[in-house]
Amino acid sequence: MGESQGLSALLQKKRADIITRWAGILVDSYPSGAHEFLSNKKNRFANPVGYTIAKEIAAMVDGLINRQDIDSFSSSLDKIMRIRTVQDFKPSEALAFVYQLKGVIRECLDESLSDAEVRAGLEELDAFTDALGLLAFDIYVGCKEQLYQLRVDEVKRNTYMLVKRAKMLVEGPEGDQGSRNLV
Amino acid sequence: MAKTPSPQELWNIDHKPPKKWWMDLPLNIRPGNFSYPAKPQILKELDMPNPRPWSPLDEDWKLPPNWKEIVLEGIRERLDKFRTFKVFMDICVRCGACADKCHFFIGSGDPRNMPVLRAELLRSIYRGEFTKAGKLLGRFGGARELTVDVIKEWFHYFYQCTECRRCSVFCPYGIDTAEITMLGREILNLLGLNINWIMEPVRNCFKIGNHLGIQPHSLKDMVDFFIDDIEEVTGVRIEVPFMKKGAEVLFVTPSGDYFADPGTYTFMGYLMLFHEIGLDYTMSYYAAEGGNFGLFSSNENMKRLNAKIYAEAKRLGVKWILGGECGHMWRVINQFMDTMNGPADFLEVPKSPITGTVFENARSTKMVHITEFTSDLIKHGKLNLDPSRNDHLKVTFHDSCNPVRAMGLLEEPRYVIKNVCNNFYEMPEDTIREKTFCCGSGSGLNNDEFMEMRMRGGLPRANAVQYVHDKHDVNTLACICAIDRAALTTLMNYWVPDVTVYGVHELVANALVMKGEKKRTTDLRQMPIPGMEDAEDV
Repeated sequence: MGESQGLSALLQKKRADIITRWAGILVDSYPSGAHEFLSNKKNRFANPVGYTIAKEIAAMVDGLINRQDIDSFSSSLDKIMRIRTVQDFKPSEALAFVYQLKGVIRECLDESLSDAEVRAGLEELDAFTDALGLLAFDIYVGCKEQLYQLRVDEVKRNTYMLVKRAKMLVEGPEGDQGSRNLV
Repeated sequence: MAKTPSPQELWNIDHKPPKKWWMDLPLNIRPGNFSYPAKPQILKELDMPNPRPWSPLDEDWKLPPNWKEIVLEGIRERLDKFRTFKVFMDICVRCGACADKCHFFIGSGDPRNMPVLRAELLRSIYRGEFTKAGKLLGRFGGARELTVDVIKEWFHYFYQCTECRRCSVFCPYGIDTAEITMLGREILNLLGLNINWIMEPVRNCFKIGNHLGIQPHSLKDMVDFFIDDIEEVTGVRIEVPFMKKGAEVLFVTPSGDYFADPGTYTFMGYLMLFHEIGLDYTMSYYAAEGGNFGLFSSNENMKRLNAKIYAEAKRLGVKWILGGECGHMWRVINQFMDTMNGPADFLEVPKSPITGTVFENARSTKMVHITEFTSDLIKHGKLNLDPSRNDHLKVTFHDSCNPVRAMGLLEEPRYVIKNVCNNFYEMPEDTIREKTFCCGSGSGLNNDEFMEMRMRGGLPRANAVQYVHDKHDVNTLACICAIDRAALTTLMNYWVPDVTVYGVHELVANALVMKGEKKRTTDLRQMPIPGMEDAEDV
């Protein structure tokens, strides 16, 4: 990522604000009855969703400040998207928080937006955010595909003995467990 | 041409769900978040009400015309019959201690999965229809009118509770929210609102003997496969007695152990253990199921399925019953059996024929858990064990909800594991023992169409496994429940893919040095044991 050093310094200055607002957007995407729980609990075992949001959003904001390569965002995005994929969100709702980063940063940098250098840096940051959105989309679809695969695997495991009994399996050479190890 | 919104306008779109009181939240039933309804034929065979084809996605659920009367009468009858129901409806002060303890709430953020609100779904109707205060105060008093939408909400949320009872551990009044779910499901059953993943196993168990409907000859064939596999791994040929009158012990285990991997390896483990100690036991085709999905539909169904085990024990003339690694079977045995079908006074207080230990804790039910039995064998030095065969496994233990919370089985499985494995690591304190997190698939919800919900419900459990995986390189999740073995395998594949699920007695059998066995080079899964492989495998 190549946005200006000046913008990086500004982001660093506003780091805490950006993290709070961006994580807040994720928390706000849940029904209001869960907001207090998701925001206030930092116990990673009692509240894995809130903990993951807080930890991974902070990691991604640091990635933006340090102008890290997009690949280094995969792990954090995966942890958040893997959760949102199995929750009650439409695909667009699951992904929206990535694009909302643009608004978060503008709100936080409000007074600096007239600076030409900052505006140029923001354009680069917008393009980077778009790329993050695409990465999140890939992860979302990957998780969905995995869910379908898990369903197939379960059905296979549940019927293996019956299929074997019906002599419908072709076993491999001696010692090869053939299809059994595939499921 | 439509005006393209500016970026400023786009990021001002409000993505927040509207703030509403729980009674006004919309119901979101969509493919992936409900279990399929029971097939009409199955309900007919069980004499259950209102068999008909229907779908939760339909507007019309084809309820009986007098559905409201049926529900209110159903509630009234149960309030009279079960004192707990009446007490649980009256005493909750909504302190919130349970609110954030449910794995489905933690994993979904859906407030109606807070145990207190799940109970309020039913309690609000109780207040509105059965209490003066509720009738007077209405919504202000937390009461509401019974409508078709309420029934739909009940169906959606009472089939989103796994009856794990973690919330009840934290309730200062001891309210068992799982029992509220059970009663909610019973009342729904009066209208023919139930799910196939529960009712088909109930029907199969009732008519054939086990959840899958495996007939005796097929079960015999399956066990023969296991005998062949055991011989291949150990060189020892064993026998498995069925319907043997006069045997000392009747062994009952969930059918998940003999039809689905990886439970099959646990089943082989039991058989090897019994052979090695020369136990005089028998299995039964009639009582070929430890699981009891009746628990998840109605107390009448639970009773008639549980009765089969005791009727068979009486018919075969055994002295006592040994139960395998099952979850909810132990809740039925320890908390309901005695008042439903007891006392089992035709049986003897269980006494291990190998060590002479009398299992006083099973004096009433006459049924001993296999980890109690095996830990006693180990304690008395009756087993020759080589735990180094499991040295490639770094093991943690998932306390299955029902054995831990319904029978207090805390130490025995750990004792067994620590004697057959050299590397054992506990998960964090608040996620084990009485406070264990559910697999997210219990109480008949382990069907594949419910996959998304199961993954979110299982998140807190998987999250704790992830922690010990990261910290100690744990690669093995041991458990003592057939639903766990199936469900946790899938859960790990999604959340912590480097972790494999094992039953405790699979680990026992891998470490068990049997008389006359050949050099073990593979484990029960016929995978090479690191450091002990055949020369050709290296």
